Amino acid sequence: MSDGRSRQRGVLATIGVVVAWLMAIAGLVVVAFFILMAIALNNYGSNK
Amino acid sequence: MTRAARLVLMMIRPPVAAVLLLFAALGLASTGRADGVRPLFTTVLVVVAGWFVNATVLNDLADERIDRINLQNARGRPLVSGDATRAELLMLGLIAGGLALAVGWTVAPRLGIVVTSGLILNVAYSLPPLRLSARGLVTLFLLPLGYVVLPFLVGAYSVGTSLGPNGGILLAGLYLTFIGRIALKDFRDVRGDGLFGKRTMLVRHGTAPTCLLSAACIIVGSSMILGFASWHSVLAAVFAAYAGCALHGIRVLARAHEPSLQHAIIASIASICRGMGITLLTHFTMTAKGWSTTHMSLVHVALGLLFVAMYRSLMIERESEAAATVRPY
Repeated sequence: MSDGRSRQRGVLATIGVVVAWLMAIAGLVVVAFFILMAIALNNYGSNK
Repeated sequence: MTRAARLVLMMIRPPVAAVLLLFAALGLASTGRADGVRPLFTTVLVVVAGWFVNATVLNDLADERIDRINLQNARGRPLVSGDATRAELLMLGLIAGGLALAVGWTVAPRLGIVVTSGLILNVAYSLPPLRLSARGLVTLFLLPLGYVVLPFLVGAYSVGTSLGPNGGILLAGLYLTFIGRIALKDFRDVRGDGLFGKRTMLVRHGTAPTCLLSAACIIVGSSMILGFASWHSVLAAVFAAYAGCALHGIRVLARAHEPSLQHAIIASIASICRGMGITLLTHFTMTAKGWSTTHMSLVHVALGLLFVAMYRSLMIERESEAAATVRPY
């Protein structure tokens, strides 16, 4: 993976974690869990 | 980690199990119990995980020869990798199915009926004489019964005796959209399926009709999901963006010939489909908590931007990263 693409993925993951954190603070705990899951799967790259 | 725990983790196929749990959460949400940490992460998790481990065990036992061709380097195929014997795997499947059955019937009779039906589907799907997994179009319409309908009903019936007012149409929409997604799964398995006479839609009809069916299911399914929302709402606009990304991915897929490239594109489409489910769950949760339309719209836009950006990122990487993204469970 090139540095640029790696950085882009890292930025997206960071934004996603912040969004999940805000959701959890707002009381949407289950939603926050699934957003974190989506970020993990996005970086993991599963094709399922 | 003990060998048994490792085997359970392999068979639960975490990426797929997470999606099943999302459908269970949507089932809970349809009854007005969105954001219900309990029972989602207690009884629902045990029932769905037990049923799914039983399903994967039976499928792995039945498809061992095909998996040795399709999934030689996969991490979640213990028979192929030599991490388990057939007897060990069978024992795990029986225990998992028994656990799901026991918890299901203990929680509620309706839940017990759903789990029992799901276990019967597992047998009919993977094992002779029916072996529905080898029957092309039929398979395509049966698989979402286990992947979508079962977890949705497990979620809904774990807290009540009926689906919510929009539950039926929501479930039908999710079912159709998932068909659009799962139709693409066969791209990964086409070589072994063809060799062993597994007549999947892709083997039988080829790339173009499979992609066309997938696109049609995603369009109709996502429209049905939004049956309860105004066509002028921000949620509808976000869903239109998701559907647009999925259709773009299918179009690119129809023109791709390299298997690793196809797999990378399918991963991007899967990513946007997860975005649909999570955005929907967020909508139900905010509605249940009485959020204002303005605040809900802001969250919808934020999630929309996040998931579209994730899709775009995966699509951009697809050519250079194709081989690295294929890590099937």
